[in-house]
Amino acid sequence: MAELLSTQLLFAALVTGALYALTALGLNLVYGTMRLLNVAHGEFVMLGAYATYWAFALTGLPPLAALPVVAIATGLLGLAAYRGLFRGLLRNPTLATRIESNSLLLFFGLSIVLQNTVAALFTPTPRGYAYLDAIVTIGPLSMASDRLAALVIAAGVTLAIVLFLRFNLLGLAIKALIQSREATQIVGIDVGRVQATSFIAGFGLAGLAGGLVSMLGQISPFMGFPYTISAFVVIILGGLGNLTGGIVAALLLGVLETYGVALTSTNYRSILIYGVFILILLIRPQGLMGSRQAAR
Amino acid sequence: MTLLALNGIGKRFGGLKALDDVSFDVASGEIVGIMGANGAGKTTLFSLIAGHQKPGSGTIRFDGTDIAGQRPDAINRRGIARTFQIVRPFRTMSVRENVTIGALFGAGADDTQTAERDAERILGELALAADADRPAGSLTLAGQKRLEMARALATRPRLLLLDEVMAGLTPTEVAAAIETIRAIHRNYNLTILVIEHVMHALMQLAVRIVVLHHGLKIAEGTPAEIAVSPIVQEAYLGKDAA
Amino acid sequence: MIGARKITPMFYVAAALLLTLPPFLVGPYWLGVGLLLLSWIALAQSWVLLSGMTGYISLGHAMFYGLGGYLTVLTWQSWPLWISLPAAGALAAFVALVLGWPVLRVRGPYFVILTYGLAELVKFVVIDIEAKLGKFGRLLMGAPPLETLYWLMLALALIATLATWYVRRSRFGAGLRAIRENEEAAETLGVPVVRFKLFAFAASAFIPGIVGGLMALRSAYFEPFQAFSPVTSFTIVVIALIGGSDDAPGPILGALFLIVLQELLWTSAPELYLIILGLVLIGFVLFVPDGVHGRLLRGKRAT
Repeated sequence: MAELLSTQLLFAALVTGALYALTALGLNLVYGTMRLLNVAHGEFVMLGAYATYWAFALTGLPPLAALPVVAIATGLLGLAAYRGLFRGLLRNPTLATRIESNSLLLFFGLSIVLQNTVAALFTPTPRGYAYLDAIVTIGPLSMASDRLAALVIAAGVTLAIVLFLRFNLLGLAIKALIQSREATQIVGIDVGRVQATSFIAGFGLAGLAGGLVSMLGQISPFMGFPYTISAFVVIILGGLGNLTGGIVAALLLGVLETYGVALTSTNYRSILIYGVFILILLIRPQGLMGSRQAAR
Repeated sequence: MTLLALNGIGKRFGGLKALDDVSFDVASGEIVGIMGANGAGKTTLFSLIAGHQKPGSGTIRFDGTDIAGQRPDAINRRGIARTFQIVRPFRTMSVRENVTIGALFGAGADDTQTAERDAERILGELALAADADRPAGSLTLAGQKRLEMARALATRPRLLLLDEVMAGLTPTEVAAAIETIRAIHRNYNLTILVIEHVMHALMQLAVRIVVLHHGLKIAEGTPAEIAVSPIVQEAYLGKDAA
Repeated sequence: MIGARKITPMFYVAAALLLTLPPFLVGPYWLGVGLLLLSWIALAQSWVLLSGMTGYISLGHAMFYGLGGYLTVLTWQSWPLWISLPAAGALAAFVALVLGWPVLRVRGPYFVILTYGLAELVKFVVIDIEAKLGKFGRLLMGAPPLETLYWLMLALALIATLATWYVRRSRFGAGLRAIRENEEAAETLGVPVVRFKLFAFAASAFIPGIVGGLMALRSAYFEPFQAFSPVTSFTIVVIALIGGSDDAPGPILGALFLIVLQELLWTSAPELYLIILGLVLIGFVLFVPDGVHGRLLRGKRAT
């Protein structure tokens, strides 16, 4: 029982929560503006993780320095992939009517391709590296400095972006786009440009999260999907487009998962995540459609 | 004899009262019109009668039984059919298949042979025979509206709810639609509830009109009475115009 | 007739009769390939009963496959096959019935990821149960010979194909397809939507449960990560997408394509297999959404 109340556990929960907030923010930007279920989001986390790993392993580039580059790279990669696939879907009117289910299959195919390409290139064996191993002690709390760095960066970037979106004109445009595509077009905003920016930012955040994750533990080609699931849980809980709600929901999920695993066992991590995911989808069958008709 | 009796029907959506204490009867064989500005609650009323939603309060008696809260397919099997304001054809199925589905599952629910024969007959009556084997999505708007009616008719209803079937039709098509509705009213012994914005069509078809405004029933009477009613004029045109 | 097509049931029965011969003609390797082909046909046909007909795309059918395998393995020493295999199917169908009630209320892409999540949840629960029982994989002693498994699978594939053929032309199938086209309109026209969806879901789980049992016997080994692998669900979807998910010939064409692809890649570049499968999925969704069968039919209609 004492371990439960320890600050160690709380710290771990915060780190997890901060990472979830980062990925969920990214998904909010991508899914919110595109309105298509991006089930490959976790794969961009994975790609960010691998890019950071290889930068470190091959060139010795410190991950903290690599992070911005990795973020931009995954951002651009995501933009290219989704633009291409999305355009392909819109080209065919029959596909466009069932665009949500069709796009889901497409993105699922993309995630399979990405996972297995990385597995083919780098083998499926999990990899890790050692970085920022030193323990930092502040008062009664001993923290691994890599975790501390991850927490600081994840929390910092998340807050920075949320504030930016709140007070910057582009941010307002993005939030408008998340609320209503048609209304945004009518008021004269260049939806294409705003969408592209959202994509780059959204996927970039995923890549950034991946880079941070790579510092904390082992990476594997199939590590991405749980991040997709948790990001969706956070968005559904916090509300699509509700960025501050997402932060709260992410911390909640981090706490739930960390304490849940501590109470039971690590085996239960997946059961917990998928269980929450399913419950949420069942309780809110409209998921994220809100007032719009849940058409297929 | 009263076929449909609405009593004290109320429905809220969040803070909005879509319908408030609406009551009226429809006698067997009548064509009753429902009139009102957008947002008056007309389509919500149809939703409640057809079972897509539950009323917050009040009863809906069809042939004596309270049907409020039953599922749409059960209500259809009891003998109520509706068309949708925004048409919902089974796009990739043929026109014929669309109507056959109605014949197979509605109140008539026979075997496949009878269903196909019924469908064939209805296709002819609603001028869809020529397009019978084309995909439903390829019809013109007027054709799709006729298809909505044909499908609903195929379920052998006693009460037919028509939701703005004239919307988007040219004057010629509207005249044809009026004739079609009159014809099926006669030939199938139907009771019909019509929501319409095309005023002259409503006046020609309905023997009685119910006027809704902001969810309330503000008037009920013959077309002639409604046409000169100061209450209705005030609702539509504002206080000073009345 | 509603949606009549040229290939009659007699054709499938005749083909099946012909296919009883291979155990006498070919060696164990090709017989194994044949078994695999038949298993994919049985799985995909069952999947089409639900997802092809109603449009509720399930990405979680591995759940039923795995549950069937699990039951078969658990009862291997105690129950005879002619009880445990149908029981495997019944268990899968029962689970589908129970889960279907809440799950089928979720529409569109949410249903897809929900089924995927459910299958993963079931997988991890079984892994946990096995771990608690101290089992990390189970070996089966004295499994039936390959020929027996082959003939049983042949029967399953035939039944599944005939089921798809029949449903496609029945009143039930017409109702399912109406649900696919526009569920609300279908319900308004008297189609008992809830009942039909549930039944299709349960029906689509039955044979995959038995297939899971047979394949567990084939490998004589049960391991949850394998048995509940999402790759199984994914492959079923790709097969139906490639071949066509609207009628009986589709899954057969799709399964053939898949087996050919597998055979080609297994020897030369096995890592490429899933990558190519993913690319095929993307390609077909974008360019051949009706599958090969659908394309063929559209070509005929145009002439």
